[in-house]
Parts: sequence; C-alpha cells; structure tokens
Amino acid sequence: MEEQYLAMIVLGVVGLASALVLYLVAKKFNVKEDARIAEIEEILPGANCGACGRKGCHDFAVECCKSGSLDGLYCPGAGAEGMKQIASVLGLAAKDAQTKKAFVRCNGTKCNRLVGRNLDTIKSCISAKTLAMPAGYCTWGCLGGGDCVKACPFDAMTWDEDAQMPKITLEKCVGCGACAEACPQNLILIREIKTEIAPVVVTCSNREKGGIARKMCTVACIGCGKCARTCQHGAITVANNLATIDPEKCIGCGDCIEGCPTKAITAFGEIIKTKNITTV
Amino acid sequence: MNIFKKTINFGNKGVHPAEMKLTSGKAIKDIPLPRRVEISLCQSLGKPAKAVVAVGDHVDRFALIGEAQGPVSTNVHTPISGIVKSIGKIETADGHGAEGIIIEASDADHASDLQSICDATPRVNDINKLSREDILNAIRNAGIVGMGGATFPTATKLAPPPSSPYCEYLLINGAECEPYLTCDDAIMREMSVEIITGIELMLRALGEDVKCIVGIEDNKPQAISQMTIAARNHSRISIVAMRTRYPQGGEKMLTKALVNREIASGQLPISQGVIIHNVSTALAVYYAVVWGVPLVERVMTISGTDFVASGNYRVPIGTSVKELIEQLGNVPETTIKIVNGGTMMGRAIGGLQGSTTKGMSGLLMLNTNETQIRETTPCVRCGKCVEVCPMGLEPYLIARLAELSRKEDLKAHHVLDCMECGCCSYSCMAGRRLVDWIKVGKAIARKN
Repeated sequence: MEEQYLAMIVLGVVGLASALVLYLVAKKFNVKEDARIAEIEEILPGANCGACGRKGCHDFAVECCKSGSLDGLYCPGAGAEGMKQIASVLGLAAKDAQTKKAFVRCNGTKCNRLVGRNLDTIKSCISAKTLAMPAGYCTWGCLGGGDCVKACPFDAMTWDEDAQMPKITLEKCVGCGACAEACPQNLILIREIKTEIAPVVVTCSNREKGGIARKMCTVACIGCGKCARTCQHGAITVANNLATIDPEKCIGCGDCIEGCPTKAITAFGEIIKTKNITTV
Repeated sequence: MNIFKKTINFGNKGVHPAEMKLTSGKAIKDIPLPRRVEISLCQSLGKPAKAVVAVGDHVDRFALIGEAQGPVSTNVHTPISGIVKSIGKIETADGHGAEGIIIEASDADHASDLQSICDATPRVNDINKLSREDILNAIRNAGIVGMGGATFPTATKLAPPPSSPYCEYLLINGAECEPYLTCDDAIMREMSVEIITGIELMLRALGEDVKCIVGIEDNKPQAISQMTIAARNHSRISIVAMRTRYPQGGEKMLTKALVNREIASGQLPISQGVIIHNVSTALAVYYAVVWGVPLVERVMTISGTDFVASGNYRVPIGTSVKELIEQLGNVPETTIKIVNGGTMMGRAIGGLQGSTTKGMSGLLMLNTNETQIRETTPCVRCGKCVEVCPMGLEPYLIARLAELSRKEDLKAHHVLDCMECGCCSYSCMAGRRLVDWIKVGKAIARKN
C-alpha cells in the first residue's frame, strides 16, 4: 500500500510543479492579441482558401486590424454583408467590391463529346492529362478527374455523374479561385458579375480549327465569328479560333447565344431581356 | 553458372516480374521503306526542332529536315526521299499531337532509295584517325538521342561541362530489364562488333583513360557471349553479367551494380564520374560516325501473346503505327491495350494514330490477362512497397500525400527522386495505384 501512496505523492508533486512552470511561462511570454482579430475571424468563413491573397483567414483578420482602411482587403467568402460587419467591428467604412463567380469554359459532357475516352486510372486530372488520348479526343476540354471539386472549400462544386463534368452552384460560389488553380487545363474562368446582368460565357476552350473542333464535340466553338458580328456592343472578339467575351462591355442581352450555331455560348442565371433562351 | 560467384546486382531491392521475352532469339527483320512518313519535330527532351524545309521541297534520303534548337534539342532527318507535303501539327501516338513534317515518296524516289541501300559504303575506314571533335560533330549532326527511352541528346551527354567531375567510367546499359522487350538483346546478338566499335568511338570522344563496362543481365546468355567475343581485343571495354532484376537499367541502379557508387538525390551520374548510354545508342553512334547515316531507324520489339508476327524489327522513324502493325498482321481481337515501351514503365497509346519516334523501343499488344486491373483495397501497411523501392522511398506515404495534394510534405519525402519504375504498384497486395498517385505527386511538387 505504501508504494501506491508514494507513487501518488510523487506524481502529484511533479504535476503541480509542471503546472506552476507552465503558468509562469505562459505569464512571461504572453502575447497580447487584438481582441478584434478573434471577432473578425468569427465573421470570416474559415476556409483558408487564399482568395484574399493572404495565407489564411487569421492572416487576413490581422491585416484588417493593422491597416487603417479596408482598401484592397476583401474576403469573397464573407461577401459584401460580411465585409460590412467587419467594417463595423473596426469602425471603418466598408468598401464595395464586385462579386466574382467561377465558370467552366467547357461543356464537353459525356453526351456532347463525339470521341469519348475510357479511363481506367485513378481519379485525378493531372494523371488524366499525362495519359494517352485517343485520336479525335478534345485535348483542350474537361478531363473529368474532378480536381476542381476536391479543391473547392465552399462545396459550390459538385460532380455530375451523368455528364462526367463538374457542376457549379452559383449561389454557393464565392469566386475564390481555388478550382481555377487546381484545373490543369486552365478551364475555369473567375469573372466579376454585375448584379442585374446575367453573365454570358463562351463554354468552350478548343483552339483547333472549326472543322476539327466540330468533330471532337457538338458544342465546340468553331471560331466562325458570328457572335462577334451579332454583338452590338463590341464585347466579343475571336482569336485563335475561339471567341472571348469582354465582361466590361457585355450587357447580357443574349443575342450571341441565339446566334451561335454550335450553342457554345451560355448564359448563367436569369436573362434580363425577355427572350426564350434556355439557361443553365 | 558458378553458384559461388558473387552476383552483380544493385542491392536487395526491386522486383523480378515474369520476363515474357516472347521474341528473344528472333532475328531482326527489316520493315520495308514506307511511302509516307510523319516525322515529329519533338524527338528529344527540350525544345522541338525547327523545320528547315518548306512545303513542296524535294528532300533526299537522310536529309536534314529539322534543326536542333539548343543543347537539349536534336536534329531530325528523313528516312525516305520525297516531297514535303505539310509542316504543322501531326497526330502522335499519345494523342496530344506535336509539330511535325509529312513526307511522301514518288515511285522514282522509292526506287532510288532502294538502290541507295544496296550501294551504301562506309564513309570512314580507320576510326583511329578521327579526332574528338569529328566524333562529337558527327553524333550531334546525326541527331542521336538516348534510345533507352529518355531521349536526351547523346552529343551533349558525351561532352559534359568543364565544371563537372572527371568522367572515369562509361557504362553501357544492356540490362533491358523490362518484360517483353528484346530489341537490345537482338542487336547485341547480331551486331555486337558494330556496338563495340560505337563504344570505342564514344570512349575516344570522352578521353584517353576512361574505362567502359557493359552491363548485361544474365537472362541474355547469347548476347553476353557475342559481346564478350566482340570485345576481346579491346582492353578498355569489359562485359559484365548481372543478376536479372528490375529496374537494373535505371541509371542509379546500374551505377550501383557496376561500379558500386551511389548517385545522390537530385544529382546526375557525372557527379560520380560516370556516364551512361544505351547499347542502341552505341549502335547509332557507329552508323553515324562510320557510315555517316543519321538516326532514321531503330530496332523495336513488336510483341504480344496473341500477336502472330511478334519479333524484333528495324523500323524507319516516322512510319505510321497503323501501317506498321497492319503489314505484319492485324491487331489481335483480344488486345485491349497497346503499350509503347515495356510493361512496367511504358505508356498505353491512345489508338493506332501517330507514327514511330526515336524513343519508341517497343509496341506491346496486351490482352485482358496481361492488363488486369485489381480492385483497390485499403493499405494494410505491410511495407512491401518500401522494401522493393529501389530509390529507398516510402511509396504508400507519398501516394497518400499526393491524394491529399500536400505539396510541402511531398517535397519533404523526396517525391521527385521517384523514377516511376512501378515496383511499388507491382508488389502491392492491396492493389493500390501507388505509382499513378506518385506521378500526380511529382506534378504537384513541381507546380510553383
């Protein structure tokens, strides 16, 4: 019995001594952090996505407290509402910033592609990119590995099994750009969107000549230039057999969508002009 | 063989897959000159060559059509006479496409090519008169690249920068440790004298006191005896039989096996005073220097359990893969995958599009039995992959880190040292796709 008491006493003394040391060290090296940092972190999404240009949410909160104004500090995850809250915590004026969303510049779903590919490999776009592709397979488009879905910290991207393509839920997307960085094909476009204008995007990245592109995919941009001629606002240019839309000039009228012979232009969200256009 | 003799090997690592050398002992057969070739301008590591001909030009056999752009790029020549039909994007076997030149021969061109094969005579009769520069220039102009598959320009490798350590050994890789492939075996059996002359030329280019060791695995006894006979009057060249083990042909493994030196992580063999070349490269050097023939053809193994015409073939570079296989016999119905290279490290091709290149050592037609994809089950931490990894890495861990895209951790576990030999996947009892994920990990680690 005595041995047990001895052990208890020794352990108890060691424990108390350690606690005392820890307490003293914690007192001595205590770092006083601005209380507002914790408050701001509460508002931030905590995804550490890096869209603000900082290492993570904590770094962003520290920066917010340090700098006198919120110039150049914007968290797309928190959004305009969150930034207003942060501004009120800090007693600063909230800056307006435009919302950004991600769009996949490819519509090469399983049924749209004319040449498919049977991948018996691991589910990874990087791996799929290095492997051999059959003749006529579109090497510009979505590889179907789902790296963007894995990279999305906001669950805005989901995998569409039927289409073998990622699907973006625009309500959840904050435009942080994690998916764009993960995509080895550079397919994901992060675009600023204006509240009242539906974003019109060319959903193709194929830079092959029209004839070749058309044999790869039914919805490929063939670079015919009809959209550029149709557009009354000069927003569309065609270079390298591929149309691009300038978001600054586009007003979202949807004329180009109607004109496109291969349905390579898509509008996301609602179209303001009342035309019978299918939206995604 | 004497069982008490110490076996030469790179250590107790690696695997010994079924050899499947279906075509061993088969003589090299010539593929007739094609009437149309599609030659890729990307025949080496580094920049693609620049086309020096225009559409509509008439080019003679062996004429230069693409000029090297920098030290890791290589010259490209045409194996046939004919008219340049187009310069631009051509299809390649991997489906990604590349810059290339298409040349078509008329009847007259074809006839003159056939005549020129009969009339050919050596350009140089006494190799002892050649200087170092003569040899290096001939190799560089002939567009010779490492023919084991890495396609690094040979002339650049033979002239290491002055700051690098002194080269003591030239190691010639005749291991051919990949299953199925027998093209190196075939040339060693049939053209040993030419190979030895090629090695002699390389030694002359490297320096006076450089020694050469040719390493051949002991599953090729005929090749060993032929090479030994051919090298008997050459005091600087020794032929060594090595115990058969995959991946003995890797540069680090070969250095360990033949001269017992270890190349540090991220270093080139020259850091240990060693330069390594393939036997096929030595043969190409011989033809380039002695006959003045550029690298326009190579010996390939075309094989498969169900393929009737399995064998070793001398194939002009630029021959269409489809034509090549169809003139030998149709692709068997059971084939589900065609692999460019060996079964361990080779890559499946996307289809019969594209043409042969300088680095293509074999085309294997594999059936369902040979390409079994096992079900992946959780890792049981048996440590088999760690045991077999010739680079001393931890494949199970690196593969998991790659799945999680952990870049810094991948670098800390030396993912870039992996040479993708595939021993880990081969030995994994859980059927995990280790090497596939490690390849992804390498791409993640290289990303900036």
